[in-house]
Amino acid sequence: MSKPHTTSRESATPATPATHAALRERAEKVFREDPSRFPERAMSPEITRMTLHELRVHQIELEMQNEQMRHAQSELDAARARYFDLYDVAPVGYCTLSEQGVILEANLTAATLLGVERSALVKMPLSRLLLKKDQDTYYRHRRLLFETGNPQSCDLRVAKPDGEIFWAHFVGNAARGEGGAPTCRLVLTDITALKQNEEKILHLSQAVEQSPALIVITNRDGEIEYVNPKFCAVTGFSREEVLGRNPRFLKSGDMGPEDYKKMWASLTSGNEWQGEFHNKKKSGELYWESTSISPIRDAAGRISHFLAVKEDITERKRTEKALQEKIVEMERFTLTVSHDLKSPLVTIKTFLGYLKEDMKSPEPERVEKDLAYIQSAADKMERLLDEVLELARIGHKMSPHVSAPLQIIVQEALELVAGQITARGVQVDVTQEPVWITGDRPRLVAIFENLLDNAVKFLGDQPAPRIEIGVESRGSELEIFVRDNGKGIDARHRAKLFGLFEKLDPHTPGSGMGLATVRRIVEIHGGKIRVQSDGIGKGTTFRFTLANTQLKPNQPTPA
Amino acid sequence: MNNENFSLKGVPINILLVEDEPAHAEIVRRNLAVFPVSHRLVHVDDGQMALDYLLRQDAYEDPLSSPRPDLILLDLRLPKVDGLEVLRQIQENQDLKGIPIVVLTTSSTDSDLTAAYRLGARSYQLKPVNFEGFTELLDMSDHSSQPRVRQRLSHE
Repeated sequence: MSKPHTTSRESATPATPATHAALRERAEKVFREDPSRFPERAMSPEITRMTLHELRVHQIELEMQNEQMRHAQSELDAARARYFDLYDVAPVGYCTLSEQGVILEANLTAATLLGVERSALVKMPLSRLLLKKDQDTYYRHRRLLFETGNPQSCDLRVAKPDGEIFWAHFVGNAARGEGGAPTCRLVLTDITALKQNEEKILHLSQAVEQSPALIVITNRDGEIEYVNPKFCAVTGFSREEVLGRNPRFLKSGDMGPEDYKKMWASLTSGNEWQGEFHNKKKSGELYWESTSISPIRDAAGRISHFLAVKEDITERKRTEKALQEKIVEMERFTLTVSHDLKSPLVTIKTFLGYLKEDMKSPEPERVEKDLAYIQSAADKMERLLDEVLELARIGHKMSPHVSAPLQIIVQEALELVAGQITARGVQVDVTQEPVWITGDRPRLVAIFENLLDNAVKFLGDQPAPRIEIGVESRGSELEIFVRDNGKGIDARHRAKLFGLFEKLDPHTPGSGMGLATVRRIVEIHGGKIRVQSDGIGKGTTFRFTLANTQLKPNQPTPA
Repeated sequence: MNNENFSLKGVPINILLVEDEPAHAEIVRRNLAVFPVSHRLVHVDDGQMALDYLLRQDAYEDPLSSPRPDLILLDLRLPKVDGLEVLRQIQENQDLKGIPIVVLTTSSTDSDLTAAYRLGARSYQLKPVNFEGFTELLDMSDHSSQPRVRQRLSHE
C-alpha cells in the first residue's frame, strides 16, 4: 500500500518526549495566563496527599485516552489510504473543479484518460483539454451546476495533448471544498466505443427508415413492434394503427391456412421464409409483395423477434402479365400471318402445276382460269404483306401528338371514303359538340376512315342508310361512337371482329385487317374499343375512348 | 391401290367441303373430278353455312337437296364461325358426331390441329390435297363408322 501523496490536514504524530515537552510548555503557559482557574489554597498534608493521588490517576487516564486516540488515528489513516487507492485506480476518472473550472485534484484514471501527468493536471483549467467546438456546452453545464447546485451531465470531446480526440461523458455534482468554497466533483468516462455504436445504430436505423422495402418487426407472438415509413406508404396504415397487431390483418384470403402453417413451421424452427403474399391495403386495394421473413435471436440464442422485409411487386407482376399477354399476342400474330401468307402460296404453287398441264391441253380458257387464280393469289399476298407492314408501323413510327377538333379529323376521313358514301347515298351526321381529340393525326383519321368504310360495306339493303358520329360520357370518360343502321352483327361473331384477317363475310371485299388496325390505333392512344349491335338488321355501333379526349366549350369549333 | 379398281356403282358419296378460299375449293374440286368415285360435292364458304347445312337450317331445310354428308372436309380458319366451333357443335350433336371429318390445313404444325383432334377430327390433310392425299382420305373411311363409304370404296 502506497502512502497518500498529498493531504490537506496534519497527520497524527507519535508522542515523543519532545512533543510531550512542547505540550507541557503550552499547558504551563495557559496556567500562567489565567491562574485564577486554579486558586491556591492552603492544603493539609492529608489533602495534599489525596490531591496528588487524584492527579496521578487522572494523568494515567489521560495517557490511556491518548493512546486510544492515537490508535484510532492510525486506523483512520489506513482507511484513508485505502480509499485513496480506490479513488486513484477507479475505472472512471474523477476530478474536482473550482468554480472557475480549474482542476483542483484528479485521480490517476482521469490523468491517464486526459493524457496529462497528474502533477501537471492540478491547477490546469479543464477547458484547455476540450475541443473548441464543445466548449460552449461545457461552460453552459458548468454555469448551471454552480448556479443551481443540480447535477449536470454531458458528452464532450476531449483533445488530448498528443492530438488524440475522444468522446467523454461528464457527470458533475456540486460539492464544498476547503473553507466551504463551492467545487464540482466530476466523473468522466471514455464513451468513444459507445458513440461509434450509436452512430452505427443511427445509420442502420436510417437505412431501415428510408428503405424502399417494407420492413416489419414483430415479437415472438407475431405482434407488430415496428414498421418503417415505406410500409405505411404502401399499405395506407399509420404506425399507430398497426403496432401490437398481428400482420395477418393484411391478408387478402388468397393464401390458404396450410401455407401459413408451413410458413410458421419454418420460422419457429429458426429458418428464413421467402414467398409472395397477395395482401390488402387499408383502402381495400390488393397488392402483391415479395416477402422474406427471418427470426431474430436474443443473446441467449432464443428467437425473440421476426423481421420481415417485403417488396411491393404489384407493378412488376402487372408488367410481367402485360408482357406475357404481348408475347402470346405476338405468337398468335406470327402464326396468323404465316398461315395467311401460306394459303395464297399454296394456291400459286398448285395452279402453276395445273398450268403446266393445261398448256398442253387444247382449251385455252383453262390456261386463262389457272392464270386468274395465280394472279388473285399473288394480289392477296401483296395486300396482306402491305397491311401487316402497316400494322407493325402503327406502333413504331408515330408522328408527334396533336390536338384537333373531332369534326376536322372526321372530315378528313370522310374525304377519303367520299366515293363509297355518295355511291351508296349515305347520310352522315357528325356531332357539333366541341370535342377535341389528341394523337397521331394520320392514325386518328385512319380510325374513322376504317370505321366509315366498314359501316358502308355492311349497310346491307337499308333503303335510307345513315351513319352517325358522336360523343357520350361513360363514367369519367368521353366515348366516341360511330353508329350505322346497316345489317348489324350476329352476337356470336362479335368476338372475332377485331381479330387479324378475320372476315365475317367472305363475300365482302377487304382483307379483314381494318378493324384490327382500328383496335391497334385506339390501344396505342390509351383507349379501348367495343362494338354494340342488337343483332342482324339492327345496325352496329362502334364505341371507343382515346386518352385526352376533352370537351372544350370555349374553343371555337368549326361547323 | 389403283383407281381403276374402284367401283362406280351405287349411291354417290356426299362430301361437304367447308372452305372460304375459292382457289382451294377449286383444287379439291379438280382432284375429285379425276377421282373415280361417284360423289356429290357441296361447297360452303363459311362456318355458319356449314352448321346451317348440317343442322338443316334456313336455306338447307330440305333433306333431299341437303343430304347428310358421308365425309366433311373442313378448313379451320373460316369466316363467321371458325372450324373448331363447327367441330364442337358436330360433336355435341348425336346425329352428326359419327360423320368422319378431315381437317384441311396449310401447316402440320398448326396449333389448332391438336384442338381439332380433341374435338373429334379423324385426320388432317395438308393443302393442296393431291391425288395420294385423296386416296388416303377416302381410304380412311375404312375405319369409319360409315359402312356405306367403305362399301363404295371396296374392290370389285
